[in-house]
Amino acid sequence: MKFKILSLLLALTLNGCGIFNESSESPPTLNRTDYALGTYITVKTPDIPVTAASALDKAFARLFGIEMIASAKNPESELFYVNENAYGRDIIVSDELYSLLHTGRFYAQLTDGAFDIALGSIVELWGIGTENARVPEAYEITEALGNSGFEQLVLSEGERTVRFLREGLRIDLGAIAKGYAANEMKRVLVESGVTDAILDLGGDIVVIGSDRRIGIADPRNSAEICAIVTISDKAVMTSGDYERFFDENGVHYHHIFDGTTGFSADSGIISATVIFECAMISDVLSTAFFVMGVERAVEFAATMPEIGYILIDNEMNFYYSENIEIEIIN
Amino acid sequence: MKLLTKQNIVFFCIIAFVFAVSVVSWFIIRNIKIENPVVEIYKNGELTHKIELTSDKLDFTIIDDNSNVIFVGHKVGVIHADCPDKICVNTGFIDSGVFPIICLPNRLEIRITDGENELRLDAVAR
Repeated sequence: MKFKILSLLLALTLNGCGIFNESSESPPTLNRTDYALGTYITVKTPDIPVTAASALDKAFARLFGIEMIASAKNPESELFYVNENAYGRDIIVSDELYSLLHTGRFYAQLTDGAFDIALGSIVELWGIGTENARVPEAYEITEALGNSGFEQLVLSEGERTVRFLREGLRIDLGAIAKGYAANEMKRVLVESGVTDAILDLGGDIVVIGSDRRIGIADPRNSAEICAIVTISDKAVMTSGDYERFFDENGVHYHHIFDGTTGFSADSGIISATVIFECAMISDVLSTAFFVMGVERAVEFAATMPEIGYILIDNEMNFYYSENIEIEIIN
Repeated sequence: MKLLTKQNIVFFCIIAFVFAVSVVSWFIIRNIKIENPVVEIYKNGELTHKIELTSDKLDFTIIDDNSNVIFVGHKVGVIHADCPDKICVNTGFIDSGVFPIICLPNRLEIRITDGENELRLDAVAR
């Protein structure tokens, strides 16, 4: 009898071994990656209702629709047409483009131009992120500055028209369109029943679901991270000087411009992250904070206490709001 | 003299049970899978290499001070050592975090960690 019990114990132990060794693969996820708005955009969801695949299709269709409206580089987009034709005459635009322009101008005013959708001529001149990147001559920068600034953009709400006051004015929605697209993709996914997903728009992250750990890239070694935030149903948008840049004669030129100088912003901040429910506002404010510098950004953020932020200066000092759950990595 | 006494049988069963549990434990430990294994190579206590074993750029060797030759594939192991005992070579290849490879004479340690669990990140904002 005792032998039988021992045998049984042995058998159970060995059987347990088999169970333990069953492959513990991670739960299946549904992924889709595509290129839009100048970057790779990935949606990853472990939440796979029957409709999730079509939800992803709908979300990406929405994204491509926004690109056809808001891309400054796509010759077939509505914004491209406006940039080419809005000097001195009223151009009627779609509700969606009008809304983006209106919101962009609102935040340009609110941030005293730290965020400005009307710096397209400066962006084009420097060509950072393209093979034509160069340091322009001083007179070129002066000329581009004259053709910049949200004050040169006239919007008429009743007729939904846009008009430029300067011939060389160019609108660039790069610092707002991705956030807007993220909001829209999230809305489509949630309406389709997705409750758990990560949207990665070229490093701008939107979380659907709870308690997701998001790393913040180290601005001086972007292959590593320097902080982790834990968020639920929020966006984490970062603006840094390390994504699109070139170095010449020991000077670091990057793609976030200061509309008052026509040069890459040199506020002392090298990475600005904003964490908020609305990806579009996060996108806008991360750029604005980068240009403002620590003191102005912290002062501005105090007026919007629901905004979370992480600012990193060029000596790798961290400044962050108290309303975020953050872990700094040494 | 009677060998099959009740005491001897109980004693034998206990020994057999302990032996079986040891074998099973060893087997379990050897087969613990790490989701995203990362190999860390330490020389004189300092981390010199950190390589993801899930990378598609594997199957290469690292020659460490002409003392140890380390092969890094989807498993990692020391394939040559100039030390006298060759314990590191005899440890074989590892892909789990239970048994590190250690070469005491050359002050070399190779261990596997869970790269993902180390940080447990869902995404990186940049």
